[in-house]
Amino acid sequence: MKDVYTKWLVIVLVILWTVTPLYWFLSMAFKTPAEISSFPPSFYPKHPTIMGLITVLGRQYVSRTGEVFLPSGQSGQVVRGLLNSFILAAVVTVITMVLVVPLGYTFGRLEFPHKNKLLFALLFCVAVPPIVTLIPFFALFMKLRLTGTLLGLVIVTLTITVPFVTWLLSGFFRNVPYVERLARTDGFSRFETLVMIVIPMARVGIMVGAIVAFLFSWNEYAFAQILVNGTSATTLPASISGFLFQHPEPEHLSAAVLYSMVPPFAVAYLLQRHITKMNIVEPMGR
Amino acid sequence: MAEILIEKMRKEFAKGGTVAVNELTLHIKDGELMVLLGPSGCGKTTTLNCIAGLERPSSGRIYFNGKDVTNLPPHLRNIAMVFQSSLLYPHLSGRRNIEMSLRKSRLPKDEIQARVQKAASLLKIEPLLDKLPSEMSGGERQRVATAKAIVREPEAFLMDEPLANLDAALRESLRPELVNLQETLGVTMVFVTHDQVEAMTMGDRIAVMNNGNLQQVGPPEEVYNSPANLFVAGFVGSPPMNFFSGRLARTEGGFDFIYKELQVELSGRILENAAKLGETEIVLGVRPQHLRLCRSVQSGALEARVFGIERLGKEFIIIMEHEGDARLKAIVPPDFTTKPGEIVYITAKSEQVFLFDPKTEKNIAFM
Repeated sequence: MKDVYTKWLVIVLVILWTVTPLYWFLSMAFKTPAEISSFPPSFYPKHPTIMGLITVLGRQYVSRTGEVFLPSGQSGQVVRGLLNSFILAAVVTVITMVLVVPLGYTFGRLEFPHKNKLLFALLFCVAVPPIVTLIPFFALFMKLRLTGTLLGLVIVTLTITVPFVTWLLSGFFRNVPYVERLARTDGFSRFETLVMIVIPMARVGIMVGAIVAFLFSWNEYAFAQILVNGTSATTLPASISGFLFQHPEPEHLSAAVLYSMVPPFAVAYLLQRHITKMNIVEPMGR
Repeated sequence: MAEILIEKMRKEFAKGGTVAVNELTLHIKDGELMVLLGPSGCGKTTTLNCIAGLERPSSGRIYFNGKDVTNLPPHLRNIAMVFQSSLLYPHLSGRRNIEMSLRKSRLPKDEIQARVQKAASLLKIEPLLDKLPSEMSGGERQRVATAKAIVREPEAFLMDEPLANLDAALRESLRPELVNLQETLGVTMVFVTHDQVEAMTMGDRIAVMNNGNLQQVGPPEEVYNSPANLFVAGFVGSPPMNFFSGRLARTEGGFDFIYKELQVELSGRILENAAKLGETEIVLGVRPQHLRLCRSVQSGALEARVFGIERLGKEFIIIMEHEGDARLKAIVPPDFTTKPGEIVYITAKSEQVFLFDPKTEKNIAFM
C-alpha cells in the first residue's frame, strides 16, 4: 500500500512541477491588467474575464461594470497568424502525407540499389537542426522573392516534415506483416497492394505521422520568425513574438498563447485512444 | 486440373551469386500431392515461388498442362498458395480475407458468396468468418487460409510449410485433413516442408532437394527403402541412418564390410553390387532399427559406450558414442536394459544395409 501512495505522490509532484508555470501563465488570460499588476499576486483570477480572449482577436470588450477595453494592438497580426497557421498546417500535412506514404513504404518494404545510402541521407536531413538551413534559405528566398509569402514557408516546412515523417513511417511500414506475396497471388499490383491492403493496415501509424506533420507546422517558430514575421503571411507563433518588444500586455500574450494551444490539445484529445493503442514495433499488435 | 512440368530450371538471386536452384527438372502429375523436402536453404521454397510466379527463374521453363507459364504473373496461373506465416490479411475478417481471393476474378457477387459459403462449410470454419485473424488460433488461421485458397478453384495448390508454425498435436491432426481435402478436390498439390515425417505421411511422391540440387524423386517408401545417396539416406527416416566409413574385403564366399572391429557379411543384391566394385573404400549405412545390440563381446561387433536412452514406450532409442565418430542411434525393444556409460556391442543385419561410394556419395545399387 505504501508503495502506491509514494507512486501517486511522485506522479502528483511531477504534474505540479510541469503544469504550475503553464497554469500561472495561462491564468493571466482571464485576469484584468489591474489584477495582474496587483501585489500580492492572486493565484487564480478573482473576477474571471474573457476580455483578453476577445480583445486579442481585434474586438472591443465592454465589461459588466461598463469598463471599455480596446482591441489589442497586436490583434491584426494574431488574427492573420491564426488563419495562416491553419492554412500552413493543413497544406503541409496534406502534401507531406501524399509524399510520405509511398516514400515510407518504399523505404520500409522494398529493396533497391543504394537504399542504405538514401536512408542515410534521409537520416541526415532529420538530424540537421533546422536553424542550420535558415540562412541559406533566407538568401535563396530573397532571390526568389519568396520571403514574406506562405508558399515560401510551406516549402521550408516541407523540408523538415517530409524526411522526419518518412523516417517515422518507414519504421512503421517495416513492421507491418509481410502480406505482399499473399496480395500478389490474389492478383493485386504493387500500387493496389499499397492502397488497398498496406495503408488500411498501417492507418494508425499514418495518422500519427499526419499529427506529427500538423503539430510541427503549427508550432514551427524559427523559420516563420525570420521569413514571414511582420508580413501578411505571418503565422501564430511568429505573431505572438510581436508582443515581446511592446508595451506589456500580458493578458493578450497569454490569450494568444492559449489559442495557439487549442489545436494540438484538440488533436491529442480526439486521437488519444489511437495514440495509446499504437504499437510501433508490432503495428497489428493485439 | 494441372500437370506441372519444370524443365531445367535455374535460379540465382544475383548474377554469379549463390545458385538457389540448379537445373531442376521435375514432372508433377495431374492430381498428385508432390512434397518438396529438404533442409532450409535447399531451394525448395524458391522452386515453389517460381511455380507460383512470385519469382522468375534465371533460366529454364515451367509448363502447366503443356502451356508455358514461365513469365505469367501469379494470378494468371490459376494457382492458390498457402504460406507459413502471414497467411491472412490481419485487418480483415475471415470472410473478407477469403473474398479477397476472388476480388480480381470478376465473378458476380452471389457466386462469390456461394463459393465462400461452400469453402467455409467444407473446412468447418463458419464461426470464424466474422472474426479477425488475431482472434483465431494458429490452426483456425490455417483453415481460413486453406479456405481462401480453395475458393479460387485453382488448378494447383502450392503450400509453403503451412504447418511449420503450429504445435505438434495440431500439425498431426491437420496433416490428414489436408491430404483428404486434396483428394476430395482432386487437385494437384505441391507441398514444401523440411519435416521428413510430414513428407513421408502426406506425399504421393517426394522430391528431396539439397543445395539447390534435386537428390531423388519417388514415392515415400521408395525414397526410404532405396535412398539414392548419402544425403537422402541421412535426411529421410527418424532417427537418422547410422553411417560407418570402412572398406570392402573379399572373403571365401563373397564380400565383407569391415570398419574397425565391425564386420558385416554382405548378401543378396548388396553382395552382387559389392562384387562389381571389388576391394575398395565404402560407406555403410544402417537404419537404427537394423542395428543389433549385445551386452557381451562378440566377434565382428563394434564396441560403443551408451550415451543416452530415449524411452518411447513401445521401443527405446539408445544413443551411443564411438571414439572418433558421430553418435550412433539404435532402436531396441523395451526389454533391453542398459544405462549411460555402459559398453555395448553393435552388429548389423546384413540384408538391411546400404552401401555408398564415399567419393560420389551415391548408393552403389544405383551405379
